Amino acid sequence: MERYNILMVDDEPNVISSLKRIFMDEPYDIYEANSASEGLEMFKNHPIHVVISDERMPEVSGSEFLAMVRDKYPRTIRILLTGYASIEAAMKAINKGEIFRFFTKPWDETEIREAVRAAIVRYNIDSN
Amino acid sequence: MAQDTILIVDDEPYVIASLKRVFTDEPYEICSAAGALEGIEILKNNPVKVVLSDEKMPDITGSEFLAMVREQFPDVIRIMLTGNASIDAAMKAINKGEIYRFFTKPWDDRELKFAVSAAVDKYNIEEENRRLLEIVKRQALNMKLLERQFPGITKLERDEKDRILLPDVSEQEMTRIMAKFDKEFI
Repeated sequence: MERYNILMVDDEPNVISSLKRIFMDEPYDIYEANSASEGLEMFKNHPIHVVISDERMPEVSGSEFLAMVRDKYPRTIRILLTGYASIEAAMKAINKGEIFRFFTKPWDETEIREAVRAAIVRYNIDSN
Repeated sequence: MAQDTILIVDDEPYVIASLKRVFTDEPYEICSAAGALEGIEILKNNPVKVVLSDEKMPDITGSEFLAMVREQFPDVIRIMLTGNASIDAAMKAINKGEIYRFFTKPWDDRELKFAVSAAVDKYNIEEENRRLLEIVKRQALNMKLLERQFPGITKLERDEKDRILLPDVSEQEMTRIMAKFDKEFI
């Protein structure tokens, strides 16, 4: 069975560790970054299939980060997960980041798990 | 050249009228609907490439409508344009409607024009991809059928110097294969 690389970007390590638990039984290799710039570094060394990013981070926001991912690595499917949902951030994430899914914290584990599965299906369709 | 068809859905006629003005100089055939159900009817009967929907409408909301469009007409590119932007509506529009763009009213004419033109391009690229994928699938199927009837026919043999080896097939045998091919493969 093929394995997929998922990148999680959040400045709070405890968020990343609880997200990781959601995917324990899934065939994913999980990579983590605490900021947008660290996230972009990850892309240089691993092909990332799906990225899940927080919105509110120091320096570069999640929606800006996802817009950069879209420009540089358009095949990666992008998901925004935010505790601080503003309509402007959502708009930027859609229009510039062309995100696939948008979730608010606290999240529903089943929804997130399903979203990432759907994201992988989308990744495979797109790269056909 | 066939015109690209755009569908605008809004319950306020003046919004539709001013949106139509935004696109006057664009090569679009514009359809409009005052609600979701009317919108679905138009989608059934017209080759719509892009749909632009308001959120706040009686009966069915824009995000619900766009989710319906995604299920029933997944090839149509979806844009939300709302005067009443709530985060829940945005979330639903993304997660269920998989929208391509999201704008708030009052809109910026240039941004909207640019977004719709990008959406039409996206539709055309995806349509071309679907067409090419169909061809590839059909060719793969033909190869399989051919191989089943004439085992080895789709394999290329080479000698140690990598030169292609042609099998010894008589003129008659070739004619028979070609006749069968013409009849059975497209």
